[in-house]
Amino acid sequence: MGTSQERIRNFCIIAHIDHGKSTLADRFLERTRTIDQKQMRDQVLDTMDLERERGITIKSHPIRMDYVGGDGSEYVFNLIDTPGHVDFTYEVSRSLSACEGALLVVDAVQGVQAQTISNLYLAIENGLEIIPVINKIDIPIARVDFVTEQLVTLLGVRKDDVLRVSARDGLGIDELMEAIVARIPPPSGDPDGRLKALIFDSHFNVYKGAVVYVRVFDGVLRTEDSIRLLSNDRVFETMEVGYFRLKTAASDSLGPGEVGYVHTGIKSLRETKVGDTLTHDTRPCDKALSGFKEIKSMVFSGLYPMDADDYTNLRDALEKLQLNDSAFTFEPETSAALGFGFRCGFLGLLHVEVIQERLEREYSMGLITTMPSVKYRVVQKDGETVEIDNPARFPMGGDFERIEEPYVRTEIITPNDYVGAIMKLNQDKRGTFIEMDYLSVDRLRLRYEIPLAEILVDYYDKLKSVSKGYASLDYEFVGHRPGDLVRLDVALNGDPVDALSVIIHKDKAYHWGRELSERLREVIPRQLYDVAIQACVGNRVIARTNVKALRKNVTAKCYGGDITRKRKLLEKQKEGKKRMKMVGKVEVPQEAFLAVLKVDRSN
Amino acid sequence: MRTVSLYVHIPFCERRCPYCTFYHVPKTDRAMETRLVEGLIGEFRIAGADLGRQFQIPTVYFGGGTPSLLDHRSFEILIDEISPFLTAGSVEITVESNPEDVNERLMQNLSGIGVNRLSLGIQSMSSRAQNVLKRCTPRSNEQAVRIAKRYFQNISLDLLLGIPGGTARELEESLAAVDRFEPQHVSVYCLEPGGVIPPDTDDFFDRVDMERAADEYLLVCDRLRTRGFGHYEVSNFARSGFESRHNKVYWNGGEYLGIGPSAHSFIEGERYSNVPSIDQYLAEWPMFPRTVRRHEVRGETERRLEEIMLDLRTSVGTPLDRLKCNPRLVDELVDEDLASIVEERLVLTDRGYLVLNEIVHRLSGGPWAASA
Repeated sequence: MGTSQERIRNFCIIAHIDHGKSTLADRFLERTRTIDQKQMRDQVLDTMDLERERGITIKSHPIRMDYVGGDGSEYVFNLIDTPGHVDFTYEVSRSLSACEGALLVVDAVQGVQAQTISNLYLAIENGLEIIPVINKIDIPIARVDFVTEQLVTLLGVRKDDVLRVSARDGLGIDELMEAIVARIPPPSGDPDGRLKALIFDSHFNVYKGAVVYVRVFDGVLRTEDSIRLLSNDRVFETMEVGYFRLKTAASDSLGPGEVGYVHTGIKSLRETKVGDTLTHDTRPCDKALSGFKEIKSMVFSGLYPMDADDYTNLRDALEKLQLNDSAFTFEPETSAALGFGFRCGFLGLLHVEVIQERLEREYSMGLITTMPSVKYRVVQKDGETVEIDNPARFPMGGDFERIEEPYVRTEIITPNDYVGAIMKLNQDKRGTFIEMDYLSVDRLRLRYEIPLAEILVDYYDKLKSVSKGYASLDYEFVGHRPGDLVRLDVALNGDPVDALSVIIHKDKAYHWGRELSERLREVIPRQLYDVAIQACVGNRVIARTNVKALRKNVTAKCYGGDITRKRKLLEKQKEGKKRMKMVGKVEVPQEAFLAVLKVDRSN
Repeated sequence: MRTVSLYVHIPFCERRCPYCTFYHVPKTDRAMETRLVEGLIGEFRIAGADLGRQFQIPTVYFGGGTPSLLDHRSFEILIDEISPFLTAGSVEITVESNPEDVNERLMQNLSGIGVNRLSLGIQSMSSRAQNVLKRCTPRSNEQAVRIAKRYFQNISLDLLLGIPGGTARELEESLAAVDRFEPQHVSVYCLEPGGVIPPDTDDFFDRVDMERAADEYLLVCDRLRTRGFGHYEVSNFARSGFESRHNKVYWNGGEYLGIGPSAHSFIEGERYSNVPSIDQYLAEWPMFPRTVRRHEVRGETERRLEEIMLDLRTSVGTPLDRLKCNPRLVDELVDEDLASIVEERLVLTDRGYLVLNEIVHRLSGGPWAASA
């Protein structure tokens, strides 16, 4: 146990995407000399390639910094980075529970966004001290006074409490670090008490087993301690404990208020659940810490290997991903068209994309992802309720009492210029208006209730487009409501392809079916035979089109016995076919299964 | 005795044809030609020694480029060199020629040294089309055939399909000319990209209408058949007994030796290709085969793919028991009139030939081949 509790500050940064959170973290790393100029590159804490490419943070990544304060004392800062996208709210809630304070970072041009507010409320619920920070004050069109006013209204703080920085230029960073020392309370906790530590994240290391990230509340956690996990009474011996520097740094112990890691040696992450409490086996604490709320998958999609032989590899890869991502679920399923695969649960579409890309990059998997679906509830005639997350299991023939679909309450903050367009969008998306109020003279908040399925696909893009990028969105699940829903099937050459089915509102089925068959016609290549594409509801065909048979694909001329050229051409063509899946006698390209995503639903 | 066919590549061309994607160079001077002939002879001797000198050459093919640009003296030297190996009495010696090169003297010379088959690239009998292709006038074509027929009893004409801007009438003109010329053999090619060098103009192949080329192909197949030609290979039609013996060696897995820059060989089950550069060839042929001739290594999959592809190109087809695909697929091909079954062999129809590559993909295995 190295540091006096009084000198520890545990905090996170709450910010909307692109409001400069990662850049601010970079400045802290520099000022505290946690990292030297040589090692510095942008977004140091975003370790995944995917994060750096997309400029987003997906996995929270804690880091410990030594800060010499204005009073000459040495402080320990534990910064817990958090993701900003709406899909990853659960990552935020984990990070919050390990902190005493939060920096609320708002872009000086864009102002407060809906997403930021919801994270802010989460932080306030967790009893965190909030330090409001306006970033990007260096930009000529910065609206510092305006945004200050927003923050004052939102938080009920004084103008002077709002700090102004430019993370890019390093302006105001010193003042901010002093504010962290002064305003964020040091952690409380009893070093002599029984050990109580919260797992707020974990990852799996092939050599060290499950590595859990902990925040110690009471007691001291040491190397070679015999530790018990309260949720399942699993006991293990700590192989190593330590802090997060840029890399990990081993230490003898972690005391109250400290944030660090533990090598458990446990061979599966399933037993080391995020949210669980660690304690000593022989001297356990009496009560578990309250974990965070269980994260429920909202969006479901089938993942199938392109090559059936990859099934086991895919399962192994999914298991590994799940180790680091408790919000991601999967279970085996079979499709008549695609064979053996998995029905996977996600938080949202971005989450689907991230998982899909990670499987393709990190595990080199060729994948087919089916159209994302939400979880429907079928109330049967005998009153029993069945949940379905796969359109293929939608009951046909109307043999049920009613179908219910999940609804969300959306909160949209927008300049008032775009209210008309946004209301129109919400109407198109089957939204029910709840209320509208003004946040300031020219800015207002709209509340709607909308079927989750409607906002899944392109809602966010459309919202951004009708508001020229100014409107921001947040939503939360409010429950299931009855809906007039049907299943739309697609048949290729008369054979229904289960993996292309979608559940959709009756009024939209016709348009959707037409658009979908058109999209499929575009992506399915011409082949040996005509391919008839039909969209049907029940036995009724509502749209049909076809891909005409390929006319010509032959290498006719043979110059002086150059057989190799012909073969190589064949092989090149064959390479292109690797992204095809045989469905009956039709070759269907990978992207066809997501063609539905490209369908414009609102017209 | 072992038979090895011989292909001689003459890379010279008077000018560039806009659709051509094969290796050729402008002929600059006599010295260059002399060095090429020297190289060809040197290469032939080394290759012959490698073969143990115990072989006969049943067919010889002078291809290009434009072999008809070669000086008569060069032909004499080359034929002299190979004549001890030629199969006595029944050798087939083909020379490719540009119609505008055809004159009494050339014809006399070629037939005088034993050439007995002439392949003329007439391409089309429409002046518009010949203009697009930057080829000679239909009149030159007509004249060339007239002269050639006086010296050769085995003439093959090349026709091109899918010529940009082509019409049904133009194709009729070409087909009518075929009726008039009465050749023993016709080769029909669709314009297609995919050679070793890009076409003259980037967009040349964009202007090729594949749909029309396919229609034209079916029409030509039909017409030539009614005129008594046998359709013995995707692109080749012949009066009975006049099939190109040399080309059949390619399809049937016979051995052949190719000499000259960019020439290809198939010896003892292995494929080789010569470097497609006349400069490198001329500089390095004495080191043959180390640098000039490259071994094309093929695995089991590659060999199998070639086998099926070559089999299906011909009217003999491929034995059904060689196909390891789902039997349902064969039924589908027959149902769709893309193939028929003749004496336990799968033989493609005209429509099948048009999508030969696609059919080979389906038949040659891989996850996409298995019908679920």
